[in-house]
Amino acid sequence: MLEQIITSYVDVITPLNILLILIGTGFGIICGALPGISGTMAVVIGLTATYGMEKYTAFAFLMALYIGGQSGGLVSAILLGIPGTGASIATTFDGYPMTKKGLGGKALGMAIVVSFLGTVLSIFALMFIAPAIASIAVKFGPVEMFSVIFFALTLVTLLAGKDLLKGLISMFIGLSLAMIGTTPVDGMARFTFGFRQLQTGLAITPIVVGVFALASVLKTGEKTVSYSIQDLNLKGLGVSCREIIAQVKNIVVAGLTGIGIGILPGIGGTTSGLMAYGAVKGISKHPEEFGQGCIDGVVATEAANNATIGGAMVPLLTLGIPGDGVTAILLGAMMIHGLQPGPLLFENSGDVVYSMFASMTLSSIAMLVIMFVCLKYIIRLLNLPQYILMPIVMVLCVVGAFSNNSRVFEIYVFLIAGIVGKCLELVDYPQAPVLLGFLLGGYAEKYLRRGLQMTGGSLTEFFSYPIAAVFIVLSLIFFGVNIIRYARLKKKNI
Amino acid sequence: MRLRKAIKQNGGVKDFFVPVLFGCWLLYQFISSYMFQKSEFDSLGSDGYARIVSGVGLLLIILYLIRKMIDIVKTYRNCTDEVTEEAKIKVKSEKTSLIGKMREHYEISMLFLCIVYVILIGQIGFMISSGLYLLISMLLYSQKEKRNLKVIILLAILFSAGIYFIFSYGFNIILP
Repeated sequence: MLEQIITSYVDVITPLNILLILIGTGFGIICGALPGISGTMAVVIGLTATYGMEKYTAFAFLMALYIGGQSGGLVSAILLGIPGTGASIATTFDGYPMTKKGLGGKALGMAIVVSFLGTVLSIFALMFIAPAIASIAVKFGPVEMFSVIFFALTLVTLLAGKDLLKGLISMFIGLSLAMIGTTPVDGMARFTFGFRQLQTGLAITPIVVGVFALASVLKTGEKTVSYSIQDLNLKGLGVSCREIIAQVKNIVVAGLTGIGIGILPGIGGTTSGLMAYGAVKGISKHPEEFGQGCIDGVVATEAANNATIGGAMVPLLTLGIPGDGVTAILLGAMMIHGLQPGPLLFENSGDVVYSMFASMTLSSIAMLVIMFVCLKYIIRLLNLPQYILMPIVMVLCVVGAFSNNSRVFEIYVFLIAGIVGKCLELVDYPQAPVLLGFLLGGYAEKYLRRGLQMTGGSLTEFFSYPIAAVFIVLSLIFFGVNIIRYARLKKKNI
Repeated sequence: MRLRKAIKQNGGVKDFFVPVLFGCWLLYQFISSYMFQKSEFDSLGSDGYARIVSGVGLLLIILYLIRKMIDIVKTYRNCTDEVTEEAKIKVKSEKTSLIGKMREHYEISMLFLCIVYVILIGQIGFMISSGLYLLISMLLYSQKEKRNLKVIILLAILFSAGIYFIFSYGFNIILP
């Protein structure tokens, strides 16, 4: 296997492939940085360009777009407080406050480095343990999947901020919005008010962009914002080796979370970022600093969402099941180029698979180099007058919302989500639990109902599934411990 | 007076806005769930799941409102009707703080501009509505002394046209 890995790296390093990796990564970063456009769109656009390419070259380009797109979201999340992709939602919690404190360069530098490290960690996991991981992942039926999602929902206790009750209400608002559309299992229209456009439910992109972007545009509009220019005199990546080494524990925890979530089909980088944020906050000695501009929060999200890349490739390559939206497009690309994803892929087309790993590694390095070179120019965006920048951001968000499904209806959803997000912000309701509930609500219902079909309607039967029992018990303990912690904190404050 | 003071000290009337608004939405979902067809495939059904989610959400909102009322009653009991000098001055400054009121209206006017922009996209298309939005918002946000009218007009036209052509002909995403 080692020989095959080395051969693949040698095969991939050709002038054409390197050029395409650089172009793909750069284009992916731009798409990821523009709110609402996302890396998924970059891969979709790039796919059409690969039809005439040779297999190795095509996948080198697509991997570069994937990695660039996933990484690009951190730029707008940190500088503007608007996540470029859903995977960077939690980056705004601490990245943007750091920018407001004049530490935008440090936040960007650290986010870029940990994005690179997260990707590399997941590539190694993919290369050496993919088949073993896949054999465990295939045992995850509806009952196990529901238990994982239930565990993810209990993270609301860490995302709720100072008021747990407000956090829980926010989460249930998100869960109630996820019920709009066609129901899973029986395919019934629910809460659509007769609108044909609501039958597919509310799309995630307009909601995420609306909740964060519109609120940010209005917030910046009401007062003049000025940032410290100290970041303009950055040397290197804006972060030292010592600072990176101090984050090793958080990188590993977040990276493993990202890989684990990426392996589970359908969940994706958005959820892994939020889960990793909650996990790192949970093990931190200073959890009260999260949300105020704590670098650990930035590290958690960016390491996790990039680690999801390798994780999402595991079920795709080993079982032919896409791990997230982008890998679903890659599945199509593999079929177009004559590859059959599944258990025999490594045997029949091992050279192409290993060349994908090599391309992913080179794309990570390209991402690091491009971001390193452009970092100072990216930060200079802060010096653009806000009265020019914010309206432009608003127009791009509208384009991003529209591009999701090419419907004007999505722009209305974006606007309403923005108004709701602003209202929640005004009365100190946390927005992250709304998104957590919205993202996971559909899956929770689908797997709960399918699980009940399997157990004959008995919820207690869920505990007879070992993996599910572990996750459910962990969730209850986790939830209980955090409620006690909240109660103690509240008593202390009184 | 005491009641108003007690409510203000506990977050004000706006703190009731979200629970009441979303409480109505959850109540609608809870009641509507009884009109859904029972599922033939699983014991829970779309109606059961909707009932659980909206029911628990409503319960949390009721708990929150009860907690809020308890806090207001506690504050009310500890409040006095006496208006302090500080409060008198504060009341005076609130009445005369025009700049504060103008800022509030500015945010609302910006939101109104965004709403009009989004509505116009469907009516007159992306290019014209975006050009108008960029022009008006840049003029509204900018200070008179720092404003460069030619740059703003050029930016509004070039950016909206540029985005339209890039997405329509470059990415095959035909904007309205």
